[in-house]
Amino acid sequence: MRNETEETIAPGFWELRTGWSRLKHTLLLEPLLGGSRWAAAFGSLLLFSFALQVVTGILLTMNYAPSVQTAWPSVKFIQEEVPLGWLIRGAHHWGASLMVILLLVHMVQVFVWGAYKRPREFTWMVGVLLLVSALGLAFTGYLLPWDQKAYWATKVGLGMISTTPVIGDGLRILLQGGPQLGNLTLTRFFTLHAFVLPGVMVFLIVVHLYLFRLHGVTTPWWESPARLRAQSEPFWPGQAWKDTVLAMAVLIGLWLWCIHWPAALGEQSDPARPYEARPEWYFMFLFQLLRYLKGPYEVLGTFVLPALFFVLLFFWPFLDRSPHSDPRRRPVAISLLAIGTASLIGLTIFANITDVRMHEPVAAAARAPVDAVVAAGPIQKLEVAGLYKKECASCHGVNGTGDAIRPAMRSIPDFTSLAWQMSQTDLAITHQIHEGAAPLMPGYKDKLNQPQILALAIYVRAFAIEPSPTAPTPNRPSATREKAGSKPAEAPPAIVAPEKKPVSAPVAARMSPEQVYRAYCMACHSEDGRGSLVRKAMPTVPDFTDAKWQTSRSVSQLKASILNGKGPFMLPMKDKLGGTDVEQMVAYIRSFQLGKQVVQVQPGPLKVPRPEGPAPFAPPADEKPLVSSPAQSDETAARIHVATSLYRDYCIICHGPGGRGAPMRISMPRIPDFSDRPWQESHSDAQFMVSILNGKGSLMPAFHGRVSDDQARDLVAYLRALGPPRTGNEAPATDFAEQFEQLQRQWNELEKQLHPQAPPAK
Amino acid sequence: MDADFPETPGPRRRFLTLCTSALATVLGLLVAVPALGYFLAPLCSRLGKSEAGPEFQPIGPQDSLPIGQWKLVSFEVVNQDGWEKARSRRSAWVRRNAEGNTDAMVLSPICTHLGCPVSWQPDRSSFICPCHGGVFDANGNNVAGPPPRPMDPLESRVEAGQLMVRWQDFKIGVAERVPVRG
Repeated sequence: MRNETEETIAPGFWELRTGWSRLKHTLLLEPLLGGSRWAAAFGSLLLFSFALQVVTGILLTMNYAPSVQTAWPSVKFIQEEVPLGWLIRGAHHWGASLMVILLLVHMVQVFVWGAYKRPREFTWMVGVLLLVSALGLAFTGYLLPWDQKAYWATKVGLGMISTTPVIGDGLRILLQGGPQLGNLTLTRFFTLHAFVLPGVMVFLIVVHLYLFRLHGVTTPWWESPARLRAQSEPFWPGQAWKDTVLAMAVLIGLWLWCIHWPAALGEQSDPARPYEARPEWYFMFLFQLLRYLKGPYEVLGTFVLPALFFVLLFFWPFLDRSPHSDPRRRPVAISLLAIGTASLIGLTIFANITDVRMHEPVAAAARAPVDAVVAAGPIQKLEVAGLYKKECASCHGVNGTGDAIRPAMRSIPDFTSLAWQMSQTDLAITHQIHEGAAPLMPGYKDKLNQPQILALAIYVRAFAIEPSPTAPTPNRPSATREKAGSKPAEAPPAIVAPEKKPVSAPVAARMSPEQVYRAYCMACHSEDGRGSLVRKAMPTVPDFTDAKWQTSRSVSQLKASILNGKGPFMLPMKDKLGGTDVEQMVAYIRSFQLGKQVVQVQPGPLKVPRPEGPAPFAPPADEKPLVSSPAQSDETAARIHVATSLYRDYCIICHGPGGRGAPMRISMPRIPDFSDRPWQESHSDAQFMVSILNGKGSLMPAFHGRVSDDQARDLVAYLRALGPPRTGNEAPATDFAEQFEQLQRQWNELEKQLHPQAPPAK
Repeated sequence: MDADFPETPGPRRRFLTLCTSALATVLGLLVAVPALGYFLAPLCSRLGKSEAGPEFQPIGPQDSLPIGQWKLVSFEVVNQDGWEKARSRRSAWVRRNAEGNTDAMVLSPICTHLGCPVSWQPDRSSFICPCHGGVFDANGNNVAGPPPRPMDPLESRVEAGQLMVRWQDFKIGVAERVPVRG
């Protein structure tokens, strides 16, 4: 009030330039007939929930990439790695349901109040269009995560649309963007969801609000006009307060809901894997209705009833001509509303309750296809060598060192480096050939079949096997010659590079700083460089993110610590690093400052190549297969991969590659030897689990939080596999453990050949 | 303010009004027509459609298939998916009818009702659609529920002992079997 009188006298600084008071008057000071009411807040609540969807939606687009290859991984990234990503996605996901509920409440209220009656018909009709747009947003948003649920629900949804008479097919193709559900569907749905429909909604909301303000709030039917006039007050602040309080309650409810029930992300969509498609709960009644409508009646459920419903709803203000707003004097309209609402809610509940699911057989069938392929003939070593020459040698070199191209491609690995070989699991190599590796290595899954990729992985492994300089390796070359017959034998890698210099002293010279950090430093200094996990046991471990610590240490001090080790626990690295790498490592350590850098702990869920193609692989009879059999299931393979890399990341630094604990025994005399039979037998799996998760003694940190329970279980299997082979009749506990042991034996076999130079074991 | 302008415009202003409206309409159309064309393009263009359908894909040796039992096999199809040639996986239900028989029955798992993937229920000896409860008998004939036609057979042949299958999409929800060109 004070402001206003001032402004009428002499406009202030802002008023003169913006005309703010007029805007305020139009926006906020419009009188409400009958005063503020809690019941009048639902429209504002809807507006608030829409604004929340806009904000969270915009945030999500920052990390979302709509394409078949990237949609699911980017949503997974948002959900699992982006800070607060789970909350923003949760709020957007559940916010959609919230909006549907609020829409229903708002509409029922408007209907009961008779707020659609003359002259407010258009306000109602715009509202119905808003409802349709919101449902359109729900439908288009459902596809975007590209998980199984999204894929199949949209496939069914598009199927329903295609049953629309005459234009159905066209409509489906138009929405789909292409002949099948794929990239073009995702980009189209994304555009509709993120630009077109929200734009339409904003326009409709402006019109809706304009019409609302034009005609004023609908007054309760039970109050007399005189009383209403007496109670009038401006929108601000009375009604705004009530709106804000309710919005706050809704928001807190939504946050709590999101914390308790995070938005789900299913498995990545796979058109070959059966899935029980279900739409979001508010479309369920329509979905279930189709169970009961057959043949010519089908279109009744997919098109006629919904269309009729919306047309009726849209034109309702002109159909209901009664001038009364008191519900007691509108029996037909109110009973229609009651029947309509009750049947919508009832059908929704009924549909969700009676929904029959058949999880078991479907899940069983989904696993079936894996073993469809059976061996048809072995791949000859000759063929592998030719394949390597053709596909790989141009970058990696015939001798596998990659030396020729390294000046241009610094990250290329040296296959003859033991350090590189030790840092890679068999599956990791296979995976990189299959999928490619950033930034330059292409994936070969389209070009080569599974056996060829496996054979190449073995070939890559063989580069590190040092032939004795005098006597050639006994059986390998001769075996090759026998098979090659009269043709001049393509020499296996060990022979191809006989002039290869002995593995150079700085064996890690060609690992990237991140690889070195992961392999040698991370177990103690943690992913974020803070070292907080081991601080209790090692109070002197520095915090790399601490700016004070960073400035107090010179580059040469850090270099000296890295090269010569420090204190009882930090091992010297000078036999593992060359001169230039130390500088890189120091730079890497520096970049942890202020928490700016975090090492990614796990390579995301591994897409494990599955056996396929007509010409599977069997190793030559006289050669030991170095890679586990392709028969292991995807899941087992992925778990083995994860456990192996976990062991590499967290355990190898102290326990050593063979689990003997040799590297640390001097400073940690009580470190166990995993290969020791009595020790293995005296500890139960549960004890292992507890030690991994909660730590042990003063030096073994707790890995709780870095390692999940399931991963810990797999790590236990890994530790068991490090032990001596089981005696005869005692069978391994699980299929997984057995597979693991098999892989470990093969690995040990390989390691035995590599052992003399294996760095951390010394 | 209003007083500055006469209530009824003169002929000059009426003409200008007409011209401006016409020009603005043309301007709008010049944007709207190509925009609409772009939006409706999937209806008529061959965008992302390959000339021939997917090729025959091997799904394993014929002998390895069980006789008289339905088995779900999966294979890859290559298709032009927008800007990229994409490999995606498809599956099919396969049954070999007798020993030494060169043919096998291969059915698309896509329910003819609305496109959900059906699964074989051995205890009921029928295919059941998990979405709307459609039921097909052991030969893929629709026997109960809403599906309008039997399950769709896929083309197959045997080459050097390998069973080869060609993927095909069909229009769903209609009684006659219409291939959808992909």
